[in-house]
Amino acid sequence: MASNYPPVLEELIVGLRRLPGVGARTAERLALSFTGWPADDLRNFGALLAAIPERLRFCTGCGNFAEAETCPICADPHRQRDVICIVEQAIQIPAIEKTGCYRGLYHVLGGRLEPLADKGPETLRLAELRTRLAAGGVREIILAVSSDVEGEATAAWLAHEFRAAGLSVSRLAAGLPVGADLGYADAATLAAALNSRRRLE
Amino acid sequence: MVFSDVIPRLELRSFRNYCRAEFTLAPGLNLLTGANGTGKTNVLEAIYYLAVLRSFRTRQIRDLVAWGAESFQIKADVRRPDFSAATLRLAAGFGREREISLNSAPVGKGSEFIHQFLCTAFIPEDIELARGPSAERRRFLDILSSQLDGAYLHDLHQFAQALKSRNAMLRQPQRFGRRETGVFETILVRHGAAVMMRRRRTIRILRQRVLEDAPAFHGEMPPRLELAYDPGVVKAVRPGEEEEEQTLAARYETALMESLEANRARDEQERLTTWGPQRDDLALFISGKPLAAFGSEGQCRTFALLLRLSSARLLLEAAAGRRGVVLLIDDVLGELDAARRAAFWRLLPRQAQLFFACTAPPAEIPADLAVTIHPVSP
Repeated sequence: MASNYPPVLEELIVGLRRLPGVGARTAERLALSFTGWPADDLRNFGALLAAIPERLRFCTGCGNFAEAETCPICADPHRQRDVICIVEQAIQIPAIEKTGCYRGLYHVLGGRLEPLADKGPETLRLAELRTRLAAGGVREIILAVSSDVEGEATAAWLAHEFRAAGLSVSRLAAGLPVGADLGYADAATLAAALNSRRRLE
Repeated sequence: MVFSDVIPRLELRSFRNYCRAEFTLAPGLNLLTGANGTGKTNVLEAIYYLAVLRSFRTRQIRDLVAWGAESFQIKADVRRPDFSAATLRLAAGFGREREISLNSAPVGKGSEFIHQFLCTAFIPEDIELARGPSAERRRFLDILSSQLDGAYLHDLHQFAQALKSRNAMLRQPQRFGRRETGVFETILVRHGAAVMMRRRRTIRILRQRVLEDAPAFHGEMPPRLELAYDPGVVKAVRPGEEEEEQTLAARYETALMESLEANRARDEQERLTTWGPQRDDLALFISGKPLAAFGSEGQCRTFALLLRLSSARLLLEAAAGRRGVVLLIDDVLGELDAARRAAFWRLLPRQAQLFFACTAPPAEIPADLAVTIHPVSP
């Protein structure tokens, strides 16, 4: 395809296309929108991108995004240190944080058991987790994994080990979304909600 | 009440030999007439695709896209017996994400789009139900079971995913041990047993229907027909036929687990799961003998046609005034004698909307069917 743009824009478009969900048309639009920015803003934006490899790290404890040795959650002295919530990816932590009802620590697995995607137990951050548990002080584990086949299998696989270590293990409930109308729930969701129903106290 | 105005309008774009086509359809019997190769079957295929999200002829999406186009679109207005209406739209092409929408709102999951109306197709390849491999009968059972039970597809998908995962793990024994396969086996067994329960139930009610409908086809000397569920678990642990439904679910779970256990060494060696619902079959017998081996060509065709007809009648009961039923009939009468053709027309349910593809209108259409003729040209 013959290019209609000067090389600087052309290279920028190619770069933007690597972003998720960005196709040729969107990349072109985004690149062109940069041409309207003041030079200083562009420089700052570029510097931010350039700083990522230097500034962004992963918490040595839980694996969350961090800019220091440990992430702000692990460093927070007010967090409960006897509960660990296990998530598949670091991007799931802000979602749980937003609920405001969890005050414990996290651990990022970095994936899950997914044989069909060639992901075995050796691809998970388990050594780090075992080190944390061996250090003592943890009493409860919450498994916040997805409720599909691989998530369910990963949860069962982890639960086996933790229970043997004498920890209390729970999983996030699966079922009806809050505020949902029963009449619109699909059969699988309703079945999950029925299976994990709770006694009214 | 007779409700057969399920699809009043159908629109095709870049589908098979149709660039753009619109059909106004009638309640009752719609005859699609035209010479060979004009695209009669393609219309039936489009209706089927909209109902079941797959074709009855091909698994290749690119076969469905018109020459030179990148994707096809099927759109239809659908009415339910309570007169509520919906517009279904589907667009798909090779290497692109399928788009489905219900009343212009995009639908994410196929399971929320499928079976807006219940559809059965009678096609010449149906004879494979009688004498083909068990996979043909499992597909027939799976579609019928999902039409009868909204939760079935979920169990089937979960089971299939767990089975594929177990097989993938068996292929890499150095990486995945018993502990890893074990957690997927628990899921495989739970959903596998649910699949087996549903298939068994489907066969039970289908059997009853077939035995009632069969005499109409066979006249004075009816051969003894029989159909039974043949579950894919090792014989030694198979639950009995008379077992109560409540205890049966647990029995299937145990049988499935024991089948996995008994073949573990073999599975590990062959790197494939030997037993399970992936080996289920619908066993067909004629006069006490297996149909595929002992039935004549005519007997196989008749039995296959009966399976379709009886399942269509089951669907009408199951829909019970909630959803419409559509029957697609393509070239299945040619091989039958006059008496069996008459039986076919007699048993064809009047409460369904019927689509019949033919080169010329058949002479034996019963007088009580309202007929609309649609000459088809590409």
